[in-house]
Amino acid sequence: MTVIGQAALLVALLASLWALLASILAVATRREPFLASAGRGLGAAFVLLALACLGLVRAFLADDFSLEYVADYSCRSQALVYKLTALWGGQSGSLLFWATLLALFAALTVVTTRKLPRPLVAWTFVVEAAVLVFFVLVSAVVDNPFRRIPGGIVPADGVGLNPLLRNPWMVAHPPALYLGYVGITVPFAFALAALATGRVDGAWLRAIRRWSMFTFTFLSLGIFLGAYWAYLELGWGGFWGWDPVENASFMPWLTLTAFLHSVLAHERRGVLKGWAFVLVILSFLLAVFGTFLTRSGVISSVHAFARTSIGWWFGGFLVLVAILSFGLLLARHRELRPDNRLDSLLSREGFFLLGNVLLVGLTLIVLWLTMRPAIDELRTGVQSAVEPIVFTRATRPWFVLLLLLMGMGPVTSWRRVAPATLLRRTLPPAAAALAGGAVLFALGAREPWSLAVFVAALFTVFGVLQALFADWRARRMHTGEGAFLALGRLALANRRRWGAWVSHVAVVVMAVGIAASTAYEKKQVFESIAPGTALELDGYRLRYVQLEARNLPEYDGLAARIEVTRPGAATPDLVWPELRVYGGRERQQTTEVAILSTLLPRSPGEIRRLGEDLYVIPAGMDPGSGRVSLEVIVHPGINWLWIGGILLLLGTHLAAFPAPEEVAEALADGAAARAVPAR
Amino acid sequence: MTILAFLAALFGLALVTALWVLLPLFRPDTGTEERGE
Repeated sequence: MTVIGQAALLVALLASLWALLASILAVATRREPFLASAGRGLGAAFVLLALACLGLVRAFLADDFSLEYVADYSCRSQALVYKLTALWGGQSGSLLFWATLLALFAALTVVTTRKLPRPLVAWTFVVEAAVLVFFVLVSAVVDNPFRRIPGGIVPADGVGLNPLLRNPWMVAHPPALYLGYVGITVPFAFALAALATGRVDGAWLRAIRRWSMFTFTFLSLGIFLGAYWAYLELGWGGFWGWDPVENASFMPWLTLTAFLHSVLAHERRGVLKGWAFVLVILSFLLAVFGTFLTRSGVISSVHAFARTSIGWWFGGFLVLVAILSFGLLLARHRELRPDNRLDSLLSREGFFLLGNVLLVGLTLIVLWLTMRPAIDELRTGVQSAVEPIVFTRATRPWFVLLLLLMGMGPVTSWRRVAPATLLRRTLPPAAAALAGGAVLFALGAREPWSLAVFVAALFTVFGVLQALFADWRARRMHTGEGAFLALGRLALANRRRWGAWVSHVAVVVMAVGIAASTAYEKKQVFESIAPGTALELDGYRLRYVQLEARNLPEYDGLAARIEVTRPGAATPDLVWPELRVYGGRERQQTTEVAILSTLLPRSPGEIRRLGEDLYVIPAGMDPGSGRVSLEVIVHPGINWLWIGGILLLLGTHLAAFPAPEEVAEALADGAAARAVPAR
Repeated sequence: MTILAFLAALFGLALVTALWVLLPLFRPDTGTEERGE
């Protein structure tokens, strides 16, 4: 099976090369058979790459350590599920997996574009096949996962997957993130096809609307699962460290968010057309750049760049794609003038434009700070470090502005809104938010940035509630329906609008979780504690009982049994922070934190504990004396971050599957807007 | 043996792929402009 996989990877390269050639011939000759053949080439590439993945998985299951990749990322004692997921545990497997997903998406576009204009489809295939050729080439030639161990000496056991990656959340995080990253290729391919064919009207945007939502959903889910994994597994008490790998996923997410709003504005009002193109190209470039950043090692040191050739491949590909796509964009800039002019900045599309500026500005700041160590090293020869706090300080004003802008969504309308109307609609949520802020201040929230986030969040929530109430009242008066029936029917009939509202509320809920947990966290280190010692932090009473050994086939663990009594509770809960040593050649160690969440406080007096976590990090354990060192952190409100994440998925799902009447209405709106000629 | 198996897999897969992918080229052309406009 491994041999078949290895052969399939090479044939996949031929199939994708043929798909590229045939789609170019289809563009040049306008002959349908070439297009059909190109489509089959993409489909065949997917089947072959899937075979290659199966071959590699089979090698992992059979503990075939003659393959370098298997020996590096698996070992005999590794649990079955982690042998399967080791497929994307390292670089060469990730590249193969990435190429497979890309081929799958390309094959899906073959099936879903049968009714679209053929020249647009042919160009889309050209772009998809070109990107696919690059990834399959890198996977088959530069970093082949089937490479045998040099010298042919097969080790008795493998190194094993990094134990930090042996976590259920890590099973789901990379595929979700890759689905997001790779998914961007489809809207990108359609955008370039639209530019190449000169059909820059709405056809391409309608074709990729659902793809874009799908991509956005998976990118969000990937980032979210990664943050949750970091919180559970990395054991430093945080969920986001502004690490280059994290930033690499966050930057395309920001530009994709701006893209989704531009698509909406274009559909409804015929504006922000140029923005849509720029943003989708930027999103794709940033997704590839993210891979370049993490795979070339350029961030840890620019000198690492030269150590493997993969950085050059990605760097070259990136430059080529940037030149071609922006060149095409420049060549078509005359056609990209909006169908309709922006009537007023005081309109929903006006606020979308402002949002785009903020999102792109934020992306550039994150990009600059991420690249600064490498730029400094090139300039001075000495690498500088950019601490996470530098990122936080540079970005938080932008986040607060974006949160406020989200609150403006429900109180504005398309086309224009009179200043007096805007003021009338803005005042109630703004006043309620300020009042809420005052209450929080009185309750002890004194950190200025967190207060700004809370007020902005309340503004958005009240704005949404106000708009919801107005809709609901209007529907009840109009139809005479009962209260609940009206609410339910309203939600079903306005899925896009509700999806947007739920997504915005989700983002502010996440922002509240982030602001509360970082601004008001309480932390204490307890060194060398003997069994039986009682500790206290922020109302939590902890009693360390004893050390217990946990020997499992995959690892040997030492766990500290700790009784925790929550504030206001009578009976204690048990938590087990643990240190593990994993099997395999290198006996790698991990820290397993213990988390005690309070979703609902026991008494109303403890309301500030809503969504709070007690987070216990085992800093050291001495099995001889039984003494342990612990770092204990209280994270107020952190669970709001996770709850917001789930809400965001719900919101994007609602928006991605609108009722047919809504789509018709949006299209009619857009057509009416375009009927007014641009001045 | 492994090399032989690899070559057999390579040629087998390449042959099947080529047949499947090139088949549409032997069908009559209906033109790319006719559909989807």
